[in-house]
Amino acid sequence: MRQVEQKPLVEAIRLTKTYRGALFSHNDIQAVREVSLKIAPGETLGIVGESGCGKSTVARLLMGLEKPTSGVVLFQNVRIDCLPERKLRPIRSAFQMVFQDSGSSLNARKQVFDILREPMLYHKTVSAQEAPTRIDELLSMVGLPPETKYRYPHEFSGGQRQRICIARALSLQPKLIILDEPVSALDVSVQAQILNLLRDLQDTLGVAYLFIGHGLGAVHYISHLIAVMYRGRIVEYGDSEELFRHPAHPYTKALLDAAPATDFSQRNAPRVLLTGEASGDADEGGCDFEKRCPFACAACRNRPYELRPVADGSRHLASCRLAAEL
Amino acid sequence: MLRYIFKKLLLAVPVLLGITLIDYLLMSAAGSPLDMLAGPRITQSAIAVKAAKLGLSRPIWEQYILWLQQVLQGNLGYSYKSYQPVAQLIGSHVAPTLLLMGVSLLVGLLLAIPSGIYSAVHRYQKRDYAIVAVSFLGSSIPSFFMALLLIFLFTVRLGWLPSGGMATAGTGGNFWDVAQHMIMPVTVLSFSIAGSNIRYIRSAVLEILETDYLRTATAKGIGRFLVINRHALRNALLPIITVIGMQIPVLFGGAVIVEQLFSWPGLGLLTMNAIIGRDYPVVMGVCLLSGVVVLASNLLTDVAYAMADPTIRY
Amino acid sequence: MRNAMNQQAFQRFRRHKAAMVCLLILTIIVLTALFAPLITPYSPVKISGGFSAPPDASHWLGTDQIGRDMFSRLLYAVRISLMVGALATGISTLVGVLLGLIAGYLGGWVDRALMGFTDMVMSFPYILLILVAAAIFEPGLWSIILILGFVDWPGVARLVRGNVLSLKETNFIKGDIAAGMPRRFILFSEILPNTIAPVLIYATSVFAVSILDEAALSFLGMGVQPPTPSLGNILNGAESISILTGKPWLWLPAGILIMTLVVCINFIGDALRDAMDPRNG
Repeated sequence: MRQVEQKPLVEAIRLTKTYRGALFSHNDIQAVREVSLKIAPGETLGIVGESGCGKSTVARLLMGLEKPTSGVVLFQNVRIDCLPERKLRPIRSAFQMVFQDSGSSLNARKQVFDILREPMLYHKTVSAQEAPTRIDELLSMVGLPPETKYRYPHEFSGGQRQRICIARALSLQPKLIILDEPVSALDVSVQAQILNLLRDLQDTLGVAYLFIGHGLGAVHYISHLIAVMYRGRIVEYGDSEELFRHPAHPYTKALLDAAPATDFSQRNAPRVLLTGEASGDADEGGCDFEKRCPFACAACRNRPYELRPVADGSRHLASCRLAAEL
Repeated sequence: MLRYIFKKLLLAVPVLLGITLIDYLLMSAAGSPLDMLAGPRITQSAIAVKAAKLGLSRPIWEQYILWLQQVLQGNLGYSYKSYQPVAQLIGSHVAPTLLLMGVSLLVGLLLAIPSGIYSAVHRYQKRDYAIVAVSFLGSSIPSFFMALLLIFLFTVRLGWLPSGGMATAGTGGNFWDVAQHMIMPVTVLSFSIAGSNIRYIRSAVLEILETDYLRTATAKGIGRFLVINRHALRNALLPIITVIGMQIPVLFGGAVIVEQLFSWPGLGLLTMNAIIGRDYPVVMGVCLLSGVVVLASNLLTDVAYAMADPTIRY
Repeated sequence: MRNAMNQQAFQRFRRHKAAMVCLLILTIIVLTALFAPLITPYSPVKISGGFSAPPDASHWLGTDQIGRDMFSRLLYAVRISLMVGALATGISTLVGVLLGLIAGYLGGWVDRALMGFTDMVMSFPYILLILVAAAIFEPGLWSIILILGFVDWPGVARLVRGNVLSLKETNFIKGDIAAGMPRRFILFSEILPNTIAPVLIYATSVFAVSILDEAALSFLGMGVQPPTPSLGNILNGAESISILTGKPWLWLPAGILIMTLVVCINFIGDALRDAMDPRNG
């Protein structure tokens, strides 16, 4: 078992990101609302949710690619969200990112060798003499033969390119890698290979992951903890296994039920299925999920958002009034 | 929509101010217009008196502010040369230019639009290549060289057309006379307009012809003519609007050379003479006018665009 | 992959027969102009024959009003025109690329200010600006190069800015930022190489336009000044009716040369555009 309470590597406290609507319109878009989370060293936090729920925005905020409207990001207890780019740059190497679309993640005009070498030399992770050896090492770590280093990105398959992206992220010896739907664009068989690679790398290097996905299977497989997001908020948060076995929020339940059952004994079990789409209406107060929730009642409409332990002292949190009963 | 137009108008103000300021600075750098007056019969003191009278002895920025104040009161100043009000000078020269530009634009587009569509529909055939080649010629031939060729051919060799001016001296300039004088300048201008636009329209139509909805329309079996007319043309309208919008500033400039060559009594000729004679108030007036015309045509293009394309919202 | 991609583009380019012919013609013209001293025995500025003599065996294109060899004047004029075109294009491309990169990458008020200025220059009637500028500075070779160079950049700046804006959204640039790479690396080593191709294509049209503008200005007497020959100021003589009517060798070849040069450059630019367009298989 994993140590439960460790000093967090990264901590986000009440992160909020509001995008201004079009000029002259008043519909500001609240992409992320008061999201708080912690990632311990060597641990994986998964974030799931439909597209548009704000999970990728959380990633960009943590990476410092965007500034939060309010809230705090701590990296090893140092506040980084308000640092100017110049001061952020030296510590950037400690957290890296892998994107969904591996095709556009690599400069098409450069060889893999240069793509891997340039950031390492800039951050002086290796000297110019050691670089070639280190590049071979990185490539073999992600399961690519060293001779591929003189190829250009477009000579690789999607899965191979994703391996190069991972190698590039690893090249700076980060403590955290944010994986923004890294396998969504890949074939199912390749997905499994990449997920296994990520797990192996975590075991050997002790790197922490923030894994963002909308496929529950992948997130469940790789994560220690999972946060479920809906319309910019975390609606449920807990241990991967616990959350899967006893979902405490109707939305999580619906997500789980939407996946086709692989276990035939479960085939006829009652399911929660979603109708409609997440509306983009302005916040009217009350539970966001109320309009689509099969268990909704009048009380839900006025109930303010709050993430509470499902049971006293539990690490499993949910925002639903009925969490304990579901 | 109204708000959008209003916003664009507001944005145009600093641009116009910038244009006039740059003009003023450039011209002040060119030297005093009084240098042109200097000669054996004019004394230094006379020049000094004149400079004081024209306000040229003040610092440049003060001159500019004075000019700006005048303009805001609707007064464009007076020509240093003829002492006529600039507004009046421009007013008397603007009609011939508008006539020449309008007719050339019309002829140019009447040539370019059908040829562009025809070329696109018959892509990769001999006629397409021929049209594209002609359009390259149109955008590559210097207007003054083409004007010389035309004058050489039609005036010198054949004696069919008058070489310049707007009307035969002595006649009042009846319709046929003016039309005859217009043939060559209009040919030069419209050929270059057509040249630069055929390929643009061709590729715009090609892009539309390749869209899925047009393939669907063709697959439905409705005739080619209908497909092109009912479906393609309406969508090709947008690029065509853009083309017209882009053409206006180009025309405004291009007219300068053509008017010079054919002695067409328009704004171009006026501008050229004013530039050479350092008649600053006139140059400033023309620059202001051309800035307004260009900005207005940009605005009209945007508005027309918004009306032709329901998916654009402001 | 770059080689493979360039090879493909090269093959697509070669399929344009017209462009290949144009490339050949252009090469011949450029080479003759470059090696002009070896090809023609006459100086372009020294009197070597009778006044306004028609073409004959020793003066292939005749002589001008004061007896200079027209053929060598033309060759040297092409040199001047190409030099003006190339330098003006170089300046405007450099200025445009720099401003476009800065505006696109920095964004915010820098972008707004730069693009406002660009729009201003663009909405200025082009010829008017050139004429005003030409009237101010002492007319001559270098002032015309500078004027054309500083008038043509807005198109390049807009093109580059647009490219930078779309590249900035790509993951590889975000990856660079995430990796903490410095700005100058991102701008010059990552973004710039990816916008070079469209800029070069655009530059061919700037080159063509510069040659045309130089000719027009010199024709009006506000560009390259005699005795230095330029294609435009050679044509200037044709404003006199006796030359226009009776001595076509004094103006026709220069006009045809300008046209040929510009047509060829435009054709090549168009073929390049087609060849670089990944949509053309």
